[in-house]
Amino acid sequence: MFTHVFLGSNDIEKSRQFYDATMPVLGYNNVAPPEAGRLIYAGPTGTFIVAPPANGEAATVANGHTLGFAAPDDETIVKWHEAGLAAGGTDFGAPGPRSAAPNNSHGAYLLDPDGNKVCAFNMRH
Amino acid sequence: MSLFTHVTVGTNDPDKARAFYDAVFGALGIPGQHTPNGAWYGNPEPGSGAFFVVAPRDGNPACFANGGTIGFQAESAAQIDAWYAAGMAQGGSDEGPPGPRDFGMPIYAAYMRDPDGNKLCALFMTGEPGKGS
Repeated sequence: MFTHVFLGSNDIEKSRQFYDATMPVLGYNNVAPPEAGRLIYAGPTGTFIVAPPANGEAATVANGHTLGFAAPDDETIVKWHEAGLAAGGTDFGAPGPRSAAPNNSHGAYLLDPDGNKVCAFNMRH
Repeated sequence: MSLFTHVTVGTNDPDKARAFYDAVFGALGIPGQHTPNGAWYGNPEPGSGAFFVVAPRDGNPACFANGGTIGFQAESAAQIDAWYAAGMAQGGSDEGPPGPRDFGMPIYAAYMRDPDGNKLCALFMTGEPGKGS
């Protein structure tokens, strides 16, 4: 369904610290060279990009926006949340079951260093 | 397993958002359901991901991000043309009409904002450099 999702960054090095700590926990590594000034986590089923906005203005955060990443199991969600907290992220919901998610799936929420809301979920179908 | 489980965007007018997203997801052949405060869309196959549009949970107005874009997979250039036309007819605003783009790989794409200003695009990998369809 999704080809890619972009999130804006006002400090790509802070973003790099956060996403280079959290995305490999989920199995994705940054494939962009350091001089690119952006982060590209590419997988066979989608690409996640973090970059300063193309229009040259400051990145801003959407209210109401959440980006969910897939985790293979509940333990990975705990590791993802811990890695993010240690790398400039802000807690927005500790790992555990979510009653609004299908089959009470486990998830955890973080704000990235720019305040973008991200989560990791182990969807039990 | 998809990289993304879901993407949620906020709306300040669920009725307008439902009309817009019913139209654009209809063009992509993706079914959806209305919910009390918005709607969600997704293919029935497990792991293919879901898109939600809802009034923000914190009760504050929804706003769009600068620097944020969500890309949707299309199966043909014609589907992208239909996606763009459907959205523009339901309160969307242009951010780049359908056509070939070359971002290091040949693609056909269109960009549009939803009625709340969230930036979206639809992409189709053409496989033909410079051709775009």
